[in-house]
Amino acid sequence: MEEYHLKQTVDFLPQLPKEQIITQNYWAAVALNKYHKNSKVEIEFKIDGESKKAILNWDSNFNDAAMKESIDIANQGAIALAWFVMSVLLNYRSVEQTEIGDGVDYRFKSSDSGDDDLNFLNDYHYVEVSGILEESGTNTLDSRIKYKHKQIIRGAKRDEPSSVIITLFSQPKTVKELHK
Amino acid sequence: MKPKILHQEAMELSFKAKQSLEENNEGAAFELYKKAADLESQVAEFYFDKPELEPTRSVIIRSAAFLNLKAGHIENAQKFIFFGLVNISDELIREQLNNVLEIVVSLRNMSQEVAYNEFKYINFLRQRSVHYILEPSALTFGHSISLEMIKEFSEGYLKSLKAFAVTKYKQTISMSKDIEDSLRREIEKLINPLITQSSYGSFKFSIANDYLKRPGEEKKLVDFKANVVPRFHHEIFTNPLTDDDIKSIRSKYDDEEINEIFRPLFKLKSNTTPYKIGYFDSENLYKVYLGRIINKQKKQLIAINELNQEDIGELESSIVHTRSTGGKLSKNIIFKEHLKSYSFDYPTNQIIPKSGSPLILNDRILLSVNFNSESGFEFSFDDFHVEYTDTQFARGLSGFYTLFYDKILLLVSIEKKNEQEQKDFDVISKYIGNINSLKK
Repeated sequence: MEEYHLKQTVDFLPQLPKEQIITQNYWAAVALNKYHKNSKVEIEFKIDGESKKAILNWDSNFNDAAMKESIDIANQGAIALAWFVMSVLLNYRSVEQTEIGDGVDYRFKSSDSGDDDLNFLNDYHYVEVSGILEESGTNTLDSRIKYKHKQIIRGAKRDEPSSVIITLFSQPKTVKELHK
Repeated sequence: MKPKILHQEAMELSFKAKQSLEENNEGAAFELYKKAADLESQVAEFYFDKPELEPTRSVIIRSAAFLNLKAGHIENAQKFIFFGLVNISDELIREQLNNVLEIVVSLRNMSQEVAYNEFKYINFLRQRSVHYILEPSALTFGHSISLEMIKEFSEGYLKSLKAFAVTKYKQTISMSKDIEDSLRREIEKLINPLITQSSYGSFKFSIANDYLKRPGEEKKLVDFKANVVPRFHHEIFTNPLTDDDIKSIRSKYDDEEINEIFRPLFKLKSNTTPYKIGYFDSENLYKVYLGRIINKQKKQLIAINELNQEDIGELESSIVHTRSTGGKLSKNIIFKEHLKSYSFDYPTNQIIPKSGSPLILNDRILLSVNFNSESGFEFSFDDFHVEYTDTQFARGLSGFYTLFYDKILLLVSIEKKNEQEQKDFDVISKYIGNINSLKK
């Protein structure tokens, strides 16, 4: 079984400031530490229909005093896992981010188009990210995946290549499904 | 100009600004947001006359609008919003710009720093907000909600929330009775939910408790204020009150606490309330309607707050000065006030109309009696649409029974019942064996 470390994202997405990836990984660590011990777990990645199991490691040596809200933990932690999947597992080498009110919009590209590209947000693979700490009632991994697909259909990315990436931290399992 | 490089610098500054905010370094965050907004503005202006560079142009203009807003540059934010609304065809981005226009309008004429703080505050509040929706149960006035409904909702919600806050805070620290009383007064001030968003079309609104740190307040208290509305929403307001839920509530709270927390919610969530309450799930944003509280749940949950007929004549409060002169006690009533309003339960297992034989019910029901000094005693049964008001208790009860009885006879006689009549019939059928024998 392959073994990974969340910090590998730093090497695969050189455009992003290192400290940004590390902070994002802290959120994922807080979410994973709620359910799993010793900063290590067997995780299932289901990518475009294919499942694979792997060992995932993370760092837990940091101050999590400001990371207490469960909704923030689930959502921010899920971004770290989405970055990991898109870069380390799927070889995307470039991510662009832009401001969207409360959050940030992330778009991935397999290679960097260079600093002179004026239409640098074109031809991106757009990713809709979400996280669930543990399933309850109607709040399940399956329902969240369906909901995120619906969100893409309603939004402007419906005709562009896009995916949903959802992480369920308690299991743990990360599912990437191609929307188009 | 290399817009890609400038944009990436702006994003890095914006990330550092967010980090500074998390570390409570307000001054640094403000400066970083200003720098990020300046850079992103330059990039956005570069794209103004380049409509062929989509989608980059639209996405960058949206980004510049939001960054300027975060930096308190309201005029700049407005410039990018207006440009975007006129020139961008992407529906999602237009919708996002439209939503934020409302905030920009409200922050106009404020200095940059004041606008920055105000936007930050509203953003923090919105992150902690619970999103509700009130919809009329019947479309008598279309989808409009009356002020009366909003008043009833806010009174019940606020009463219940404050009772919950007092109880929860009491559970975290042990305190004497004196302190408990002063805490109750303090909570009155601390629990102050704010409307953080509202819109027409039914009545959608978001609520968060004010949680600015006031002088002398400890972090524990600020955290408590910040989370009290979501906690109340999850633990109390949306509780489906199954048998297990009720058991769990009764193990956590005493009778008085349950009474204070839940009683104000009965009216809001009864079958006869003229509106439905919904909320938007904070994780998946689905709209969920709250279930109604029926008489059976009410009976299980609360200790019956019964009032005898003799007590009813004493619904008043007085300030009396008692003096002892030469072994004789003299009393002087300084101030006497009849209660303005009071609610209690009236359990009964029969309906006794003025004419006709009493109707024996299969199970005891709880009638709600709301006394109001202006209108008198209002009798109702939460599960069934019937209400009667009279200035005298006995006359009111008799009038209520008669109305209740007549309504049962009417429902039995109607062959083709409308939706509401069928619901009422189903409710009352459970309490009367062989209801159809009442058919004349």
